[in-house]
Amino acid sequence: MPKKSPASQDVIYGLQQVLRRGLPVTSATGSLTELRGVVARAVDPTDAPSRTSALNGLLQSLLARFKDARYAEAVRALFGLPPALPGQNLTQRRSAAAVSAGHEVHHFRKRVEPRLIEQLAADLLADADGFTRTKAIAPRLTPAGARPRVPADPFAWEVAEEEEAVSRLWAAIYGLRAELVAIERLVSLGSEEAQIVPRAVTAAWMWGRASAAAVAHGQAYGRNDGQTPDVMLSLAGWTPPLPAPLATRLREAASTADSRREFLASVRGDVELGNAWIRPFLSTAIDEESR
Amino acid sequence: MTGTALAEALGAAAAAGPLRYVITGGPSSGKDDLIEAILDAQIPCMEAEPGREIYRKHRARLGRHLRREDRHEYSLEVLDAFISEFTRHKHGIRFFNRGIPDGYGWDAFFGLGPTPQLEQANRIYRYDVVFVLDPLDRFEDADDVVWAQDREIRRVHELIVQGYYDAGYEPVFVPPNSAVERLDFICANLRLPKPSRGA
Repeated sequence: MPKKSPASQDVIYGLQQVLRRGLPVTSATGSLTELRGVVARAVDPTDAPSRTSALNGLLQSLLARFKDARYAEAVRALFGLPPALPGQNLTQRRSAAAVSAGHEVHHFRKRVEPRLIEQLAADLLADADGFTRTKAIAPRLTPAGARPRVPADPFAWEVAEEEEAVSRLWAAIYGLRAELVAIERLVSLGSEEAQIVPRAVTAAWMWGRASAAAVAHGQAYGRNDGQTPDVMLSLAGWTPPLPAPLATRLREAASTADSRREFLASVRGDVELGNAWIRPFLSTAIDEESR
Repeated sequence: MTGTALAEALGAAAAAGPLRYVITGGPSSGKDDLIEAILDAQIPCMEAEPGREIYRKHRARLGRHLRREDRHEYSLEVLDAFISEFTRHKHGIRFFNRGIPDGYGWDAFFGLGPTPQLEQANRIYRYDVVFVLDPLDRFEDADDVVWAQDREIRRVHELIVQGYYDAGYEPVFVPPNSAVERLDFICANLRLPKPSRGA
């Protein structure tokens, strides 16, 4: 799966290849099927014909909405859409496009056509940018302007709910991070165990909440973009590695506790979990002292 | 208000077989305003999008947000509602508030493949023309689109459009104008007289 969209020159080259036969594209055209917007539209992103089909839809929709009104019809004809006729070769399509644009055909080919292809390439890249997913980066926030309005639409409700979930997930991850930073600061200061342990308990509570939020988010919105709950949690910082059964116990205890006090009450008797979570923090402290 | 010419055209169409026109687009595309304008012009139109009520019912029944595994069930129920709307219409012109292929966009947005039921329905129930409303320009710079919600809504729109191409349609894109201008554009496209709006 592509991680990075192709460069502008590659996209222009890909479009020049498409231009030879016109639309519909019948076989994979290198860099164009690597565009994020194409991959995201494909019913099966791992399947080349599916990506080709997505590329056809994307090109048709961009050509149908070509912003330069003067050349909109010309560029559509150039790529084989009406007013061009099915089965026309490039010479015939170019001629139809030149007529539509009101240019002499050689002038059109040399001066106008390259600009139209560049514009279409820019549109493809802008579309790809819209499909860039940055799940492992906390949402960028800006000062509020107008009150946001969520349209009464199931798609919009789902989108808004996901943003709620993402916001809560990041709040939990940053909350955990704050506790982990606090622990390492105390360790660095050479603080007593009595100061570190309460922080470690708070960190356990925060870890459990963040973990529950990450799991819930994955269940609801998991889109195979590589951001597993473990990856998301690791962004908060180092935590003691927990065997799966202990991680499950910690997550369940934290997610059902409304407060740190409730959490502490529910895990107080779990010596195995307490040792697995707290000792590594303390042993780190000992290691630091022994340097 | 329906103009006389438009009323006559609608009357003549009503005597013939069904003509089904879809109005679709992502959230914030101005679809509700256009539907209202169509209804104001007394052109037969599906008022409410069935997905909204079904979504609310699913939420109420589950008592939580929809999970991945719930979304196919939801989309199948929406599909049934769209098929029912489609088959109920027997004569004349009718606009549909979204259509069966919107399901492709829904499935794609959640990384789900289209269901066999959707594929089959798409083969059987075909609309005559599909109008896509491109998102209305809001008074903000593209760089201001920082909320995940805004970016995602744009993505939803593009996936809906792709769904219609996947379904074998060539949608007509309606420019982002006022609802009245959009309705005039659609009427011109369908060779229908413009609605009369009085003085």
